[in-house]
Amino acid sequence: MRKLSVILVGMTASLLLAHLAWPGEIEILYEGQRKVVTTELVSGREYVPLAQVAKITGGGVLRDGLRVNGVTFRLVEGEPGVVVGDTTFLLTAPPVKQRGAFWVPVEFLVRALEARYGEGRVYWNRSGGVVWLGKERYNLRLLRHHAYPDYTRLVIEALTPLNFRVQEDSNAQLSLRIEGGILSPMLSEAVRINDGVVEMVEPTQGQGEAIFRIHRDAFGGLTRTFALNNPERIVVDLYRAKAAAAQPPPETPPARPSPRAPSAAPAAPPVTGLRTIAIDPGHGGRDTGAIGPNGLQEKDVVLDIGLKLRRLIQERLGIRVVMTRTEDVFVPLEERTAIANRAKADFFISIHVNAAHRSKAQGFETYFLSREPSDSSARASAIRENLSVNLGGLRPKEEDALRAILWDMANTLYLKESSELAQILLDELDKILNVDNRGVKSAPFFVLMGAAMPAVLLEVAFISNPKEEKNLQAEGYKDRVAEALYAGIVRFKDRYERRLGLVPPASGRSVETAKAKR
Amino acid sequence: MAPLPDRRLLLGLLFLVVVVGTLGFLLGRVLAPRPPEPPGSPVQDGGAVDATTRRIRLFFAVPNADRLQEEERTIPRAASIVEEAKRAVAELIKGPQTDLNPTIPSAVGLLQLYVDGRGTAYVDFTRDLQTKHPGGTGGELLTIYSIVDTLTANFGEIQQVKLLVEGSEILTLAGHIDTRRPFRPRYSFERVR
Ligand SMILES: [Zn+2]
Repeated sequence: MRKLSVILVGMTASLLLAHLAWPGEIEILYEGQRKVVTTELVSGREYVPLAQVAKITGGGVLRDGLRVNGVTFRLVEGEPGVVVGDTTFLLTAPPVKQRGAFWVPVEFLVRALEARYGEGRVYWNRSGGVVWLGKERYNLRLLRHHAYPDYTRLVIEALTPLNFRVQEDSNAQLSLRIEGGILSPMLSEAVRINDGVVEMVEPTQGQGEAIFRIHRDAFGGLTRTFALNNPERIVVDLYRAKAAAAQPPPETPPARPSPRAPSAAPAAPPVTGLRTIAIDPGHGGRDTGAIGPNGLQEKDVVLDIGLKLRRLIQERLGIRVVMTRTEDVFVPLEERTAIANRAKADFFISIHVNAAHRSKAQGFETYFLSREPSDSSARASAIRENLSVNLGGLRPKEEDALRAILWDMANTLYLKESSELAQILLDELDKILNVDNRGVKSAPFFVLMGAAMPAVLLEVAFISNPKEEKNLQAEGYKDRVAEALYAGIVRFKDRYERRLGLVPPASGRSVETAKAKR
Repeated sequence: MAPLPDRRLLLGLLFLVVVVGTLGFLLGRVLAPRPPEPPGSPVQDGGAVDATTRRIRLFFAVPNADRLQEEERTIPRAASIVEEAKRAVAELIKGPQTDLNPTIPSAVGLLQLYVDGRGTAYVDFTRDLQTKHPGGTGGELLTIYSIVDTLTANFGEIQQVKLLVEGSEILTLAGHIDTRRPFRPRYSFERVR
């Protein structure tokens, strides 16, 4: 009853305010001019006449919208969605018609000015009622945040697709570094969140990059970072530390309780053996990857295979799987291995499908990182950052020397294990698929450079080949690919654990054959 | 400050690490793929038919896309190596005249090419090199090495090639091979084990 009366009071208030003259004004500073536009309050929001927007931006009013600088904004009375070319953006309130003419919320003026002068040059101080044109362009517009039951989502709105990566500064602090990022004035201050997960976010403008320092409240939980487009957004999800410690990581959906517990019990993974596998479905979001002659996209195929593989591993091996993405989102190449490094994954598998220009090529091939002296620096730093050796008491020079040697050792070891994993996976694909086996190869892959663990990249088919594209459309074919990769992982896991002396050779073999028979 | 024994232990570990590291490195070298011999010998100036033209070898993709194969072409002589190298890349973009496959999308334009004093050619293309690329590791390797091999095989002054797009370094063509560093020639992408 009380709730209802509150709503009624609210409605009456807004009805009273609607269509009342409002003494508000917006000051617009541009090209040495100063214009003042009187605003009117409609349903509690400030509106300006569309005709005024046209005058200021040098545009023309259309029957159903506005045309500025070759850009057409289509408006519908009462509908907040504005169609611009093939995209739509949402106004915070719908356009209205008064005295036969369109009135639009003030932010529409900002959009129209952006169409006239370019995005990133139009600054708007909402509370001060001023819109002005700046000299420098920014490309990071604003930061939003929202608390969900088990995680906090930070969203940074960008004007263009930018590359980014997340770095763990300490257990309580992360840095999101956005390459070429320029902060808008709306991002000039630290944002206090204090929701029990994130304490605050501090944006700073660096040389050639923007840095968002994220201070976590609790002892660090897991994070996921990805990009969405239309409009461009960079999203950081920070999970509650408690949930992360008690349960599988957020990438792992809560397993169906009944079937898993009993079947996993007899073949429980050894505590110190292979514990975490990172699966990287290539591309995603704005990066479609290769496209087949009939329009099938690499990003969709490899996500399907990756998710199928994750399910097989979780259901049959009970091992933790970390995915670099589980949806159609953009994740930068550096961030993919950073996810695996932060999760301390034991190995990294990047799944792709191949393409070649006007070629009849078909088949599968597996790759590991080639050992080229010139590639070493990126990988060296990745591995060095992950070497958790206490070097206290050494002088900096000694420390550097030791780190360099440890890195070289680790790199050599990873190289050997990576090429073994590539071979095992190739052999398993060969058993199941009836297409060309193109062998194990090596090349300087960007995505593998940052891996502080054995890492491989798989090209499981040629999407550019119409026959293979057709295969990849069938669930059954993708299931077979996932089964082959699963069988390879079981074999690699067995060898890995036997080498560590965790599984006696005889029993290890029997486990393997028992698995293979299933 | 850590006590002394710790330091001695660490230096002992350092020594062990040096020994194992060296062994690992040697093992790595044994396992590392041996670069295949470049087909044929670099084209010499003597290969010219007359003073106004010269024969060059362009590298295109074989039908199953795992290797590059040469195709001969005659280009007009130019005042400098750089100009001739530009013509060679332009011919490469035009595509093969045999039944080999093209390696560069035909919409791509060559913006600039220069060679520094240390034998690195910088080849600057239009954005189409990335946006019109068919993708795939195979496709990327073919594009990269057709350019690298064509330039290094025909011009003795060029030992390695760095790709640029609209004047800037790029991370990858389409998400796979790292293009931040210059490439040395490689003629096939055959299995290494
Ligand atoms: Zn790919």
